Amino acid sequence: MIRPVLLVVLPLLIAFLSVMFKKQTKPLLLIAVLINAVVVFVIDKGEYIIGNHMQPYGIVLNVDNYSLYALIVLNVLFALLVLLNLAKITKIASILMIALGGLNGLLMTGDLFNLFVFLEISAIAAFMIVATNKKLIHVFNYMIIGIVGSVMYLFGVILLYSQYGTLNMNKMAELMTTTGTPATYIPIIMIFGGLAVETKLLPFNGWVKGVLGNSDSLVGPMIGSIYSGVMLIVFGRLFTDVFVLNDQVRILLSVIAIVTLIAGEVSAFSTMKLREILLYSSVAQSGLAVLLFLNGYGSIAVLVVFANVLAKFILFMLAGVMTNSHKKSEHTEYEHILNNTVDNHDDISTLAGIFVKNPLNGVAFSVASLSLASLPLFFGFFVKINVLYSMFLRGDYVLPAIILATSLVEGAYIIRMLVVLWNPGKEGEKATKEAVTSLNYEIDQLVCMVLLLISLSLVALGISPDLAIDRADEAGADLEYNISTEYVELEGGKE
Amino acid sequence: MHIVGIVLMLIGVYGLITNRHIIKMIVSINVLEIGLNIFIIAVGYGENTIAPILTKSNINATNFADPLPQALVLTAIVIGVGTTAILLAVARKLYQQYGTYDLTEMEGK
Amino acid sequence: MKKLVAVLLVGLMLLLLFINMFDGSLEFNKMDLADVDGNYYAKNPIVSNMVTSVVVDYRSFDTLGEVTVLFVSSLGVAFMLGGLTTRIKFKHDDSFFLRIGVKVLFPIIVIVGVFMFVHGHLTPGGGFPGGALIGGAMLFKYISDSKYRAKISAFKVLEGTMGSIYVLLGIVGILVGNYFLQNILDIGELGNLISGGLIPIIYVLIGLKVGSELTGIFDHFMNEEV
Repeated sequence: MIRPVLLVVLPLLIAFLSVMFKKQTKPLLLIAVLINAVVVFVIDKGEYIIGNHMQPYGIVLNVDNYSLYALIVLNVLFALLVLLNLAKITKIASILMIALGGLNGLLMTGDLFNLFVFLEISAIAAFMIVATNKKLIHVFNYMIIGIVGSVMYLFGVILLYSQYGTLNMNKMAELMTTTGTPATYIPIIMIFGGLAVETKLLPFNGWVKGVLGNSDSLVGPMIGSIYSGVMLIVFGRLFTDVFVLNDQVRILLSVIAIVTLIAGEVSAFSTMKLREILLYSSVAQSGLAVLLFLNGYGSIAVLVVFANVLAKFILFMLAGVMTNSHKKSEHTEYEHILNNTVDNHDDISTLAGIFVKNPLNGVAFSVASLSLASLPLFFGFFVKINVLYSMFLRGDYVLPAIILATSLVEGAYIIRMLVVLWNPGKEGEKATKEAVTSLNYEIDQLVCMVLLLISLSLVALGISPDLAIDRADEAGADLEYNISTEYVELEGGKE
Repeated sequence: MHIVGIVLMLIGVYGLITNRHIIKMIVSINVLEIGLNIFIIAVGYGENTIAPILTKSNINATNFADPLPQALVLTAIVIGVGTTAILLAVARKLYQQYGTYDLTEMEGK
Repeated sequence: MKKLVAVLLVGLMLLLLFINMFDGSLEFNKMDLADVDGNYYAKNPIVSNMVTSVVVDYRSFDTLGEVTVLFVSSLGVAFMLGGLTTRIKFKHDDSFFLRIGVKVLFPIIVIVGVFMFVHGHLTPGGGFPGGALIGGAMLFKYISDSKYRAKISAFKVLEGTMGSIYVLLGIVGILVGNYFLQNILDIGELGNLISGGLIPIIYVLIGLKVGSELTGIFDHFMNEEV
């Protein structure tokens, strides 16, 4: 009933108009975000031609199950993020609208060069969003690596055009399956390298530590949760639906993903700073999702991405607020905002016991991180079990071993982080009220409630995951190279 | 012409790896993008092809060059201009903050 | 040491590319130009300039994205350098020749730019180089006079309006013809100035928008803090 192109175009139109109405950019942003979050539930499915020119000579937008569920999650989470950060968005309201349009276009497009254009739009908007935290050197590094990544992607696309003569994704998929893989593997590696920058894979993730390690409650969830999820879904679309890889290339790229997974978990284990733990865990989850996409487990990879996006949204938002705590006796609430003296307390030992003072936030944080560690009763456990089950069913034994080992490491550091944050005092001492840290932070009641609700949804999905499983199954069915579709149910193991 | 494009791209990559002065890095990125654009145009050129514009004298010709890569290059050039503009803005702010254009000195502070 | 490693890395990439993509006589092996998608565009041009018909009609969505990239870059520059308000003073005095020369050259450059984007569908060029020429003419004015400031608010209104009209033309395409960004006006005869439907109109919009955006960016760079 509603054309899907409006999801991209309406935020752009409101952004163009907002230059003339400078005083009212914040209400305009809220209107745009809410319209998108509502419209996404009623768009038509199917292929949508732009400009009345047939494929492959015109551009098509592809809205199938895979894109539709990603679009719903993206728009709803973006709206939530904007609503929970109303104080911080005044200066970059127009840029946020363009970021929303760009991310929607990324998920829907059916043309390789159009993907490049939307990738650039989203990347430039992301650079500016990261620049709100005033540590410009990390922004500069992020920009340089991001631009080099886009150049690599475009080089790969042009090499593919010179070999196959088309830029349309559907036609490229047909040509690749009928005439075989290209004689040279260089275009595929170039495109992989270009996307590896945004999906945090190992050779190119030098920017992650600087950007996410200094994030506040707007930058953190935006880059660590929303952008990360969108880029992984785009990666899945390209590498399972459009390209046909031969075995050596598949093994080479899987090795890169495995190295990223192991390096991420080990780095997360060895640090004691709150945001660094979270960002290395994000790197590892990206490596896991890429590994699953490359080896034919498309539906499971969608579940992994979904669980990661929800959990990291809560964790990064709370981490952003907690690391801006201050001592209650020294500053009053208004004084520290006026003087702009916000201390940066990143080490979790200085934040020991902070959840004793804020139990509701503590519950939300704990639920999200236990889901990340795949403990039973939470959604993450379910996802992990399905990953291992599908792999065993296919006779694969190397990959589950690696995944089990890294899960152990993951569980260890997450439990350690939670223990420190809930229990005041040092190890071996009795936890008394005096040893609780004297730092505290202000958080809006609304933010508290919303985060608690999202974490309760993780528990609900853990108890009855049918809703998510069916959707992921439908989504995975749209991908070409998707081999596994059996799932484990909680009661008795029926298939 | 393909070789010219690839050589320019590799010069840009070399400049990006070895320089630590911010403005030189921005210039290297520009050289990289120019090399890529030249390569893209060269992909659309064949033997004895002419420019893809219809005029009175070549209205019945059949050996036009491929117009699609040229359209892609138009877009890529403009995107390069956009990214150079914000890179230079960030470079200006960094100079204001640190007083130097050298990355190694900035990381030391 | 670092330079040596860099040279080796670059040489390795060059070697890999040569072995895989070029054949014996250093010719790039690619598809025949008659089978490529672009051939359809060459055989069915909508206006005389085939590249224009690809950019503004067949792949108009990409052009919308490109206009957005430039827009978000100008927003980004305004966000980063927005606090600076006074004009930079150059270290040298204003040059006499430059000042007089600008009075002669500025109208000529602007006219060439306008000619380029109005005739974008007949001659090479189009909206983007035409707009860049207009931006360049404004930069010329900034360089020649150390007290000059353009009326930035007027340029910002122009930029916003042109962008909105482009998107609104696309939405009108949905209402009238059922597809976004469809070419709804009459195509006319090949080679006339008034031909090609929406194409000259869109190029005029893009030319004015790019010119105002570049002027805004130059103005931000020419300011400094008090």
